Amino acid sequence: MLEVKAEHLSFAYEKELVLGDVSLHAKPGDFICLLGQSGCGKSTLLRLIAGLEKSDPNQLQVGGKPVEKPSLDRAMVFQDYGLFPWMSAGANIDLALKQKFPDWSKEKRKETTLLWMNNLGLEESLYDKLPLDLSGGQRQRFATARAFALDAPLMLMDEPFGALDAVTKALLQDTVLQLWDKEEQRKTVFFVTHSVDEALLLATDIVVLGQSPSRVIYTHHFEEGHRPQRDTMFSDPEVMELRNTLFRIIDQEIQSKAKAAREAGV
Amino acid sequence: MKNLCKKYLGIISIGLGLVIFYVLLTDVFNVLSDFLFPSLGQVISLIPDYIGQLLEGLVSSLGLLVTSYVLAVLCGVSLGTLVGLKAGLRKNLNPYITAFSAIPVPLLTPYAINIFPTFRLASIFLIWLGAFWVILGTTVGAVQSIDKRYLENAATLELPPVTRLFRVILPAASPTILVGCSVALNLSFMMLAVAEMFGASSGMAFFIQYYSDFARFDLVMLGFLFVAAVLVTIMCLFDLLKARILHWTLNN
Repeated sequence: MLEVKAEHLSFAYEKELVLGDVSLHAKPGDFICLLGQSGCGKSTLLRLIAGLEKSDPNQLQVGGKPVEKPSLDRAMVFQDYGLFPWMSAGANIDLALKQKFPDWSKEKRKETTLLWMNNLGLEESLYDKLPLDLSGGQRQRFATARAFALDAPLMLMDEPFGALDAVTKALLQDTVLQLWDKEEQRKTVFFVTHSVDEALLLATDIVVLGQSPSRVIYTHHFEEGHRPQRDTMFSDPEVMELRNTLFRIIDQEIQSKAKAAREAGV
Repeated sequence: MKNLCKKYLGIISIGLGLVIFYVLLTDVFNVLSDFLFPSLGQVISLIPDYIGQLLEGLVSSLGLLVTSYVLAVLCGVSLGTLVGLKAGLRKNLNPYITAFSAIPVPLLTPYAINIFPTFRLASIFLIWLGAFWVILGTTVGAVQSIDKRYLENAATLELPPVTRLFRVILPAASPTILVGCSVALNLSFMMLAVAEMFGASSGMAFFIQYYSDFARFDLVMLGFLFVAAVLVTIMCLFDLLKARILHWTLNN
């Protein structure tokens, strides 16, 4: 439920400018999917919002305040290494809960952990398993369960399902969407993805970033009740037109980048 | 018992092979000098008379070894973690760590005897120093090379410094730190032998040195076998501890 505002946001890793001029406004409860080709700065933008990289206080604000450092108000789901491998999967969630809710008893933390494990389709017996002993899908469910259990108003998901098989990915997409949708006060979600279809399925707002140093080159907002559904989206002409537009825009960016590289003799 | 034998069949077979080889070279074919290499039966028959002396030596040696090694682990890991985490400290201290760790510790024996009031303290210092540099060096490297994503994960959870240290940094660095601790333990055994060569009145290495001076090579051999048994036991216990700490890694 946090508002995120980026105005002419730029960012460079040492001398390499990654974000050129990014402006966007996420309202509380929005599900923003960031699309774009590899290396365009989607993950960098997410890291700036998370506070893992320093940003100009005038260019990026979360909840009306500049982002100074990482916070438990911004739960992050990484593609890999979401869990600490030396503690059990359940203990990973417990550690986060202990940090967020220091007054909670051990029993309440365990109860909450099991509740969110259940919400994400994880059996109770997996609580004591090490991440090493879990499948990729189960690990990502735990990481997502931890993010939801923290009850952070802003969730940042960096290609969380990128390495999963199609079936597990679809199940997790549906679960995340249901959990986000059923809350009275929806969380604001930033979701980085390479997949146009994933963005169409999840987003309330799609933001496409251009080539690095990037800027926002396309946005689309779905009105409430008009978001594509998995079973009908491929037969809906409007959604298909939007899908083609998104593919065309991304392809044009790739072509123009390749042309620029050729002209520069790279 | 049957399962245990099956599990350690390779180790037991090699051990038996070595014993048979020694018996063939000594008792059967008399290839080796029986003065320097007494028969195994002769060595074993000495155990009842000398076990008291050997155990007294064991207690004395373990006193030196455990004190020095534990101190080296505490100092090496804590200082190494601090230096590994602080780029500024690392930059300024690394040349000195490299320079000091290159000095062979046995060469410092005269200085240790001169500086410390007792031979025992001098011995503890030398064993400590031998283990300390290795643990310090590997800990600095281990902490410095922790996967950034673990630290970022900890940052997003706003873990306080102490929790971050004990629940993230040390576990993440533990595989490499434990390699250093293992090498340091071997070095400690060597330094223990050096330390007991001067000023000691008991100890496992002292036992060997003492009877070597009297050319009692049957007792020297007994000392060797006893030291070997103790070292194997300590290394096995260390490996068990290591496997317990690293239960989360692929190799365990």
